[in-house]
Amino acid sequence: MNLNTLLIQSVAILGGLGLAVGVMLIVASRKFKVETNPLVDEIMSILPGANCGACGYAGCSDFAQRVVDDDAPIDGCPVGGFDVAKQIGGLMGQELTEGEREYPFVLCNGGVNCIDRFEYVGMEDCKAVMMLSDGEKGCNFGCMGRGTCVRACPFGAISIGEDKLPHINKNICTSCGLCISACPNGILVFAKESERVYIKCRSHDKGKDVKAACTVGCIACKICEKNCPVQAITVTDFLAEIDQSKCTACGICVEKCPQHTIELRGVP
Amino acid sequence: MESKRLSKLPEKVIIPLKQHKGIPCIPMVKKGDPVIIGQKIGDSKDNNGSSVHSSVCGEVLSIEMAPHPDGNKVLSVIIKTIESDQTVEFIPTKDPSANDLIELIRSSGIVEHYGVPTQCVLRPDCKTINTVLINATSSEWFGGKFSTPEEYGTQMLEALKLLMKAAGASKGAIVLRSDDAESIAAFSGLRFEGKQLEVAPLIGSRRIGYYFKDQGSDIVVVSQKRIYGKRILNFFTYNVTGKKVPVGCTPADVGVAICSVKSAKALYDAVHQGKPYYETVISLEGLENCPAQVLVRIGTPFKDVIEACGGYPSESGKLIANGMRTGVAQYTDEVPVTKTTTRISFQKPEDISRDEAIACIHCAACVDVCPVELLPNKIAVLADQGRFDECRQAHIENCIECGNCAIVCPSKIHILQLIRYAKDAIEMVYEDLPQKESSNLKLGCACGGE
Repeated sequence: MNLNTLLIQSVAILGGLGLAVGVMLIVASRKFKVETNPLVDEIMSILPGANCGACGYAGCSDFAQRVVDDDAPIDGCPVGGFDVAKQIGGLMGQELTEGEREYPFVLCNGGVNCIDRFEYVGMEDCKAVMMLSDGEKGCNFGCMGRGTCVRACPFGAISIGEDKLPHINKNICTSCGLCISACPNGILVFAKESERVYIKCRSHDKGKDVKAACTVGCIACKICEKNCPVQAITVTDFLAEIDQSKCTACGICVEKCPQHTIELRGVP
Repeated sequence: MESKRLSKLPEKVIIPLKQHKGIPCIPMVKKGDPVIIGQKIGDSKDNNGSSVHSSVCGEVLSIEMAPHPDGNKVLSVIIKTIESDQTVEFIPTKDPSANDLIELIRSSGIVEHYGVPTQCVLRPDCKTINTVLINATSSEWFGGKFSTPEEYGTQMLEALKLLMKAAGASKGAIVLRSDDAESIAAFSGLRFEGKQLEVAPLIGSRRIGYYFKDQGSDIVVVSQKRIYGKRILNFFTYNVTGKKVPVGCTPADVGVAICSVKSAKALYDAVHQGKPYYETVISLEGLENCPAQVLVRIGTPFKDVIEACGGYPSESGKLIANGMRTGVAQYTDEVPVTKTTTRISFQKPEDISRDEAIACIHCAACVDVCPVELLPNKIAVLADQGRFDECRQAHIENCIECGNCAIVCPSKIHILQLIRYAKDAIEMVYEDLPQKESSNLKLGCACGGE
């Protein structure tokens, strides 16, 4: 057998095999075709595709499937926000009105202003610190600054600053809320940009105990309550609370607060 | 052998209303009320609760949140003491029935050193107990209010019979430590129910079942190597009885109840003297010129115990409730001795480790020392990355939390802390399994076989 025939034979055999398998594949794909809803694919192409799981489902494709099955709300993707929800709404035939974008906000001003009860040596994680004597901070409600929220953020929007408090980069943040559920102490909450005055403390301890632990905590002195011209602030259970629907962001409470606990955000 | 009482009465005592796992007691006294020794100051309606009694005579200063040796703050009754030995009338119980005993344990506030009320150990819900073990393998629980070794031996055996009666168990055993010659001498040769007792060693496959048959008795005294750890119950059950406890279950699932010397002695006193559980023996470690064991009233602050036992060494160190390896370091010495305190340890400054953890060098020293044949290095990495499903596949629940792995680690990785962290996270999943489906929630209870 010379080289030529050998070459022709092998090419013919391989080519034939390829053709046969190709035909089989075409037949199989026709016969065993899985019916998918074209809507799912369309929604998939709209979704951000980060597979972060912030919606509560296994990933973007799972979410898309559930939107089509009416299991998930059309605005269930916090990463995509209003734009994505509107497009999905268009596909699903539902109308959506835009709400204001909310970002996580740190309800603690402690950090370096809060004393440490003891020296901690161990794993760098807020939950692990919490398991030991409720954390090393003198205040049981404060931020421990060990960065569980930083690691929970799939987008890298949070960093721990020099004041040992988390800082949220609003340009990167997608409002997915994973940091809020990760925080073992509930320091992070969603806050609207238009709600400008916030009390940066969650401590329900008595004023004396707060003063012993932290220089910037709410001591429930009620000065803000007395000075507020629109009665938007009430002190309940040793902590001031702001009724955002009444607040006019006049800034009087911010000036009067002896502990500088109240913050006025977005000052021009 | 008899433990000394503290020479000085503390100025005030702090009695936590929660000295067991479960719901805290409801205070039965008010600010300003006078109290006497043995008076019930906290009670719980719950079946799994345990009463709390005053250990001193005095006046209630306040009822407030006070530090607890476990770390958190707990609602406590603070009593200003006065020098007096006035007690409530102690009424001994004669020929108690099983239900009387259970009620007596509850109202006397007897709690195991691992935090479970004794009546829950003896009468768990929907489970029957057929074997009661008294774990006497840790020397710090050995000392007690006994004047002679014979008294120790006979009282322990009597207490074991009471525990068996309360649980409705047919068999019972006292487990000693094989190198604890003092206790072995106390039991061997003792005549009990007309029979000469022999301390039998647990070797190889000879576990207590063998000795029940061999000695033709329902009560045996055995000895084994010391097992150290925070969660030894399942491992201890397997070692002593040969019964394997499934993952996620307790010894009660295989019909075994484990009590300690402390609770056995407390029950004996409750029945024969009518005394509630208000005093306990703790051991001291790391202090100069201090007795090895001391009898203290529950609620005595650590500060007063240390002052009465020779005071602090000159340089400052680290104060630890319970053992050096698995105990909780304290940030204040105003914490009280509770029913779950077995030891106060004091670490010298040169012994305190402050090393930062560095990367694992895969030396496998932790694998060599693990008493339950786990791979601590692997589990630590998985726990650090939050891969708790895989931790479970690596049998993290079998860990007895002895801390050997963290001690031998040359990279000073906080392996025990990582393991506890992962265990806690897994337990949280059991507690509030959300309705939403998630890829990370595949954990189910393995009781009844997986």
